[in-house]
Amino acid sequence: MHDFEAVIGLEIHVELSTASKIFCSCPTTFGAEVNTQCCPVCLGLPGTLPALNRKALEYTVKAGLALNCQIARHTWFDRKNYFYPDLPKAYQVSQQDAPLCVNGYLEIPVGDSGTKKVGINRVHLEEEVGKSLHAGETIIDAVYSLLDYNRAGIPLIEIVTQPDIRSAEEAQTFLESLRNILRYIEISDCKMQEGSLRCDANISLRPKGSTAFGTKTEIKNLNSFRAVRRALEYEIKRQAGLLRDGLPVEPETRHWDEQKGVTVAMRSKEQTSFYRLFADPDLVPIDLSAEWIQQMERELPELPGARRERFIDEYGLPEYDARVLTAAKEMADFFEEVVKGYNDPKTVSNWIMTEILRYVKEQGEEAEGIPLPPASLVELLQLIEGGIINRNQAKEIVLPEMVASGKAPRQIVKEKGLEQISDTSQLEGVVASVLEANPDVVQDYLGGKEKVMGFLVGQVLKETKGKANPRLVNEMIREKLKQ
Amino acid sequence: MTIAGMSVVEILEGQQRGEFTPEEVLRAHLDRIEGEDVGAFLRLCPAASPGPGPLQGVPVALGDEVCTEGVETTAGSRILAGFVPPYQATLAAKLQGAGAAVVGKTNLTEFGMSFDMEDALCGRTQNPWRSGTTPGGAAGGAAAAVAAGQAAAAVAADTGGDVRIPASYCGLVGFTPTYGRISRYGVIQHAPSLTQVGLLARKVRDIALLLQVLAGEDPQDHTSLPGTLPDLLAEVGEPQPLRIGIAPGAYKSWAEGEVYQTLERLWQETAAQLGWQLVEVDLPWLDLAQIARRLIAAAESSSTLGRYDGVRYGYRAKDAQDMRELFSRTRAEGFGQVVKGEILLGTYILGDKDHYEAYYLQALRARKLVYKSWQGLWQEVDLLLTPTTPELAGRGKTPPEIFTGPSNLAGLPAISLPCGLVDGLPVGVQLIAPAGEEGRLLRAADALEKMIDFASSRNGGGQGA
Amino acid sequence: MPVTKEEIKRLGEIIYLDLTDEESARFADLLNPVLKKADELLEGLEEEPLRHISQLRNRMREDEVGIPMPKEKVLANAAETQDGCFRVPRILED
Ligand SMILES: [Mg+2]
Ligand SMILES: [Zn+2]
Repeated sequence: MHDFEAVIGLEIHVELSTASKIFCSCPTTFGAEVNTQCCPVCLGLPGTLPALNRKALEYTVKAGLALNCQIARHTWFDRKNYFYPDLPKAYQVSQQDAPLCVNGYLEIPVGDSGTKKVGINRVHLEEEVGKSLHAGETIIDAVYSLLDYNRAGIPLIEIVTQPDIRSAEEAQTFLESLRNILRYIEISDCKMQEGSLRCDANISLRPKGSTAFGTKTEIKNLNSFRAVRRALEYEIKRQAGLLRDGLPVEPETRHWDEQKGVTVAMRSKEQTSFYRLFADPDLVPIDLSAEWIQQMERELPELPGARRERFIDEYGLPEYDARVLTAAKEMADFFEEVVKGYNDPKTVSNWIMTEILRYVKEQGEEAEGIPLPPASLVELLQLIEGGIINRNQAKEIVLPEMVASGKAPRQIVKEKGLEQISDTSQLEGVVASVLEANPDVVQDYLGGKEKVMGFLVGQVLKETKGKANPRLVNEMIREKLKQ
Repeated sequence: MTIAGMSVVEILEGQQRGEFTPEEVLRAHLDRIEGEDVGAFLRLCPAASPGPGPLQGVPVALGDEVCTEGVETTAGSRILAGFVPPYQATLAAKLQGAGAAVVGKTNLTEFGMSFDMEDALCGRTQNPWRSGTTPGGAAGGAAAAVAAGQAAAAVAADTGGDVRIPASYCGLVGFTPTYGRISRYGVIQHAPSLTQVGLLARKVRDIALLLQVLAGEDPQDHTSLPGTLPDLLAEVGEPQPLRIGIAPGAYKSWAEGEVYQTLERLWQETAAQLGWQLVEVDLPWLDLAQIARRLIAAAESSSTLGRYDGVRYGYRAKDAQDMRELFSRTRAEGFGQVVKGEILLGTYILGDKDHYEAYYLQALRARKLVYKSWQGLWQEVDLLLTPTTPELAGRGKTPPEIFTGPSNLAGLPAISLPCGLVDGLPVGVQLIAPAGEEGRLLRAADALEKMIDFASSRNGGGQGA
Repeated sequence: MPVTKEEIKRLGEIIYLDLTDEESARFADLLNPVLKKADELLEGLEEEPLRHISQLRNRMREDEVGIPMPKEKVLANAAETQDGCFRVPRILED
């Protein structure tokens, strides 16, 4: 029996975060009241014409640059014709023959320390369609549907990868990396739950070692990173099962059913390839000069890869730390802000990677950001360094409260009475009584068993309900037993 | 002389001399609309009123493909029945801003997709020169309205001769500027790459005046040309020695004898007096241009008319059970036969890879060939002179757009002037200029118009050159 | 090869246009001479296809937000509305 290899390509649609729509000046705000962000142009009323938004075009070029693409020097828009009630003009203005960006790649992490380049076939600019709301359980049993065109005409980029992805996990990693880079360059908020990042996957299997392509299916309705991974895992198993039984894989579009955890064949929109594409006469072609492209390149912020290298050089961080910290722009920004106030990069990095990241992850896979301002972490680290609280208190009591209430660490320490006792006069008595109560241990210490010091310090901490400054207690005991 | 039937210039001058008021001008034209039913108008604009400006008090008719805010606009199609645009076409706003009174919306063939006014769905329009005869199309209503003295001028879309053909049949001046000169925003189109907004009036000077108001960049039409036009009116009238291209061979083979003879007489009698040098040229690509234009128009139509689906506006089929039925029946019931035929043709030639390559892509290659042929021609001549239509109104044997379509294919400015009568029906002469040369074109047309001295009134007994 | 009425019917389905058999046959008869003429005249042309007639390039607007239409105006021309939306019968295809 064959061992199969998955061949996966992704097609990703990303809404750009321009203020106005691609061809009219209607706002693009998410969640507005239905049909309140529309005008004659985005409703496709007769006789209206498109007026291209410069920023939408520039954002697309920036996406292409960040994905190492070649940028077209001459481009235009095509009409992709099909009928659906959410498509006001019965054609989507898109790009077929002259996409803005081609032949790029995105480097993604694989394994513990490796990377892999996933080819980007193209990035092109097009327009978003409206939304249909179905009255009924599913689209099929709905009695009627309602159309909201607020979304129609929001600029959209379509990113098509090469079939370079080999597993469900890799697909998820690719999407995470892509989301990260698009958020880095600030062209989209990439919120899968709001639909501003959507993914379709093409997948086929072939015997390991083969270079031919098997029959592929296209999976739609992948609304989260988890869905992408689970759907592909399911589809790999399904196709492998068919192939092992000598059954054909149908070249079809399948719908991911999140609840049931299966992909199902869709009733296909008829002849979807029949798009009658041709150049839209209402939009003039675009010539991109080298200067213009360079200008957009200059406007790009530092990208994750470059930032990772800089973190290693500038802050002396290990490669692993640098990679984790730059995996999300918010986190890298947070790190740099904290280091400005507390100049111990490795300590800051440890705190972020262990403690802060835990809170970020609790928000789910599409975390919006760090749940506390950088100044708060600076303050917390200073409290520890100043011996006001110890590390355990900081982690177990203060930080959770900071995240929960948004209060400053100093205030929390005060309210909870956590200040460490760093005054020797307050500790003299406790230290003396602990030594008195443990003569055997003291003897062991004096006999050269340094290890027992921990026990003695622990006893003092216990007596003071954890408030004693352990470093200070350690010094005091050492002093006392020297005499 | 009665007010209804005056040229734009005569109306403006008469008002200036205090002979009549803008209100009287409007009244006179409305009376004529009531008095003579040539089926020109689909509906009147109840709020028509003159204002101050360079076109103060000039009654203008708009083809019903021009969107007028608050006034039903159907482009002559059942599928847009009841559609009331919540916006104004840029050109309509400009006319009103210049003080013109938009009197009403005129009949056209459905979406302007036929040159044969017999194909119009919304009632019959008569040629004011002879009842029972076609005024030509697609802008037949617009031409009939001006010819009948119901408006002093009209504006309508031209994708292959839609303004010039009826101008020729109705004894009027019909003009299409360079592609993009007048904004297409708010003009309901079927083939946007061919659509040039055209003008109809009695005199070349009227056209110059209207053009100056309507020309200019529109932020809502990204194909609109930047820059303003010089004072064309002031420049009109300075005669210049020009090289005028004629292609007698092509004209003889396409045009009927009397039309050809009228044209031949015209250039023989006027050229020398106008200081024109006649240059014989060849136009071997006329039929190629005709088929290419037809295919491109059909292809674009199949896409541009997709939006008429009964969801957001216009006609909707009753009691459809699901979306497919709603769409299919709305479009089957809403579109007329000509439109259906054209969008099927367009769907066929875009529809699969082989057809796309054999027809649509080849039509674009033909377009390039025609474009280059025009550029070659402009090395030899300053203007091309042709018959406007190959036949008189109502004959209907040869494609009526054979001489007018090629300029749309290249986006060139062109003008048709009445140059005589045959059997009591007007014959038109067309001048075509290089892109951007409206000034040259209008100056030459003005000079020619003076030589011809065509009495544009049906009652004036005009004899032509 | 001439277009058949079956082919016309299929084209009608693609552009959501119900056609009777009689219409399909008539439109086939209409298209065939046009296509035949096109076959004759267009064959072998090797020019670059002219995709855009406008000679303008790089027309763009700035990313500025304007005032959208009031909802009543958005819906004013609709045959059927509900809850601020355009209402259509059920959609069987996805
Ligand atoms: Mg797409
Ligand atoms: Zn809009």
